[in-house]
Amino acid sequence: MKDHSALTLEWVCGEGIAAAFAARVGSDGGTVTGTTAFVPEPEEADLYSDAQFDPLVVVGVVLAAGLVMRYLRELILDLKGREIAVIDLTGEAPQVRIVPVGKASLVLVKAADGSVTKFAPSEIDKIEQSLAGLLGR
Amino acid sequence: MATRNRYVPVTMVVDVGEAWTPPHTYALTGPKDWRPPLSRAIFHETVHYWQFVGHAHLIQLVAEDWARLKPFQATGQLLPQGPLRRAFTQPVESAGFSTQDLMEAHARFWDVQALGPPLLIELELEAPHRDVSPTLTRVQYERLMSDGKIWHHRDAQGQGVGYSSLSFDLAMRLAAGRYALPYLRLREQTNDLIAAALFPLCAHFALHSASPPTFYVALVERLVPQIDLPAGRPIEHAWRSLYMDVLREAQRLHIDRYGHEIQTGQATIHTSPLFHEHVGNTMAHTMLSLACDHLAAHRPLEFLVGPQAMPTGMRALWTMDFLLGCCGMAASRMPDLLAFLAPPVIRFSDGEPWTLGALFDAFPFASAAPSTAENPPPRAQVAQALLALDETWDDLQLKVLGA
Repeated sequence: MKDHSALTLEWVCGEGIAAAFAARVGSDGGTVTGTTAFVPEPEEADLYSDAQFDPLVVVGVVLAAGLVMRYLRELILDLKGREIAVIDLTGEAPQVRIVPVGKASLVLVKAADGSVTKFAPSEIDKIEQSLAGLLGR
Repeated sequence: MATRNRYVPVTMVVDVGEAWTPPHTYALTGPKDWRPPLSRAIFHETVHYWQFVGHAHLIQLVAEDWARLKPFQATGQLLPQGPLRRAFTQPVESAGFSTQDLMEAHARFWDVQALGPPLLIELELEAPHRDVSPTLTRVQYERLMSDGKIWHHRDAQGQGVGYSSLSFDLAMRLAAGRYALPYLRLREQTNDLIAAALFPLCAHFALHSASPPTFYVALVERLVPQIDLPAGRPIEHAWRSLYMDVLREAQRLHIDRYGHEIQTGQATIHTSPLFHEHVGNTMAHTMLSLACDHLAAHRPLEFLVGPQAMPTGMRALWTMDFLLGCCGMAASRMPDLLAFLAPPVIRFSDGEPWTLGALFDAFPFASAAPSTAENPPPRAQVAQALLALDETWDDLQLKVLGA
């Protein structure tokens, strides 16, 4: 059954793969609203890798909610050893970003009120349930 | 374990996003001649190490990070970032760029110098990290190539010798993103030759100041009308000959702005708790002092910057400041910076490191530092201590994220 509900999302990724990501969104029936340089909050700024080699951008998209969940599932299951996926619902639009820190991969869901829930990537079903509630699906 | 390239200033760990490989000194002595994509990452992050050891503003920033790490290590208490750290990545409106942008532009300048513009441009066209409009870049690059303008000049056998200021300019402007901004600011006001001569020195002195972006802009505006360089001289001669002129103007500007002269990194560290409390800084700055002694005792007087009337010890101190500001220059790296100040830890994506001991002992010119060879610092222990600090810093960052 086709999912007609659409979500606005900010997807943070490397500049070098942003065009391919935007093309995928387009082919999946979504809309890319713009691409801008990612400027982290000062508190988080020193968490990101050397941007000289891999500058980060924010790709704004509007995408069917079901596809957002599929993208998130793929991202989470593809996390490497020292990567944390942050799904941040504190801003105007939900933002997804990867932070290279820590010793094991992890998923952090930041709710609109600032509270943080931690998940292991293997808890993908729980993560999806939590997000479905938070995203109002 | 790192997945990307980065330098962690408060722990002095260089992280490289590739799997471990046996140590090879060419990564630092001749990065264009050994596995260039890997060497480039190691070299670039090592330049950051030298920047953070050698520049007053960056030493004070690390001291702020250290003031957070210490209580966290002792009690788990998470303190807020210091003011320099908070401002580091934020563009200053009047300049249009941040301190981080200026630092990255300075490091990129030495990437271009150490790898050479053709190789750097080729690497960036092949690398998937940037959206660099490869068609346009290649057209410009190939036009310079076909016009014979990549090289400074050709020898009797027709081989290209040295890189032209035009090819340097292309590599600085292309694919540098917002890190090109400080260099472009200079290029708006002068030609590529003077820009290549002034850029690293202006960035260097700005990184000693309280507000590097605005200091850089003001220093450039003061210097550009004063500088006239004859074409055809090696660029290294220009940096050396201009150093004292740029220092004088930077001193005047610093006094106008802050009421006192510039403090170099070496002067700043001795009033910082880092010197006594931080094992990596204690070692690095002890080694820098030894390096100054070595410069004064063993280097020919013409190698030293400053007027001949200046005492040799003072000239050696300013020469060390010059070498740190021009840290990517071949004459800075070999032997002085690498013999005395090789990075303490280079960690690869699988967690395996090169430590300073392994690196230092592999340098064929280790004998250039006789006092060090006789009384070597506990290099392996320093590396292990810094790796342990890095784990704690990681825990602090996780707490910042709320994990």
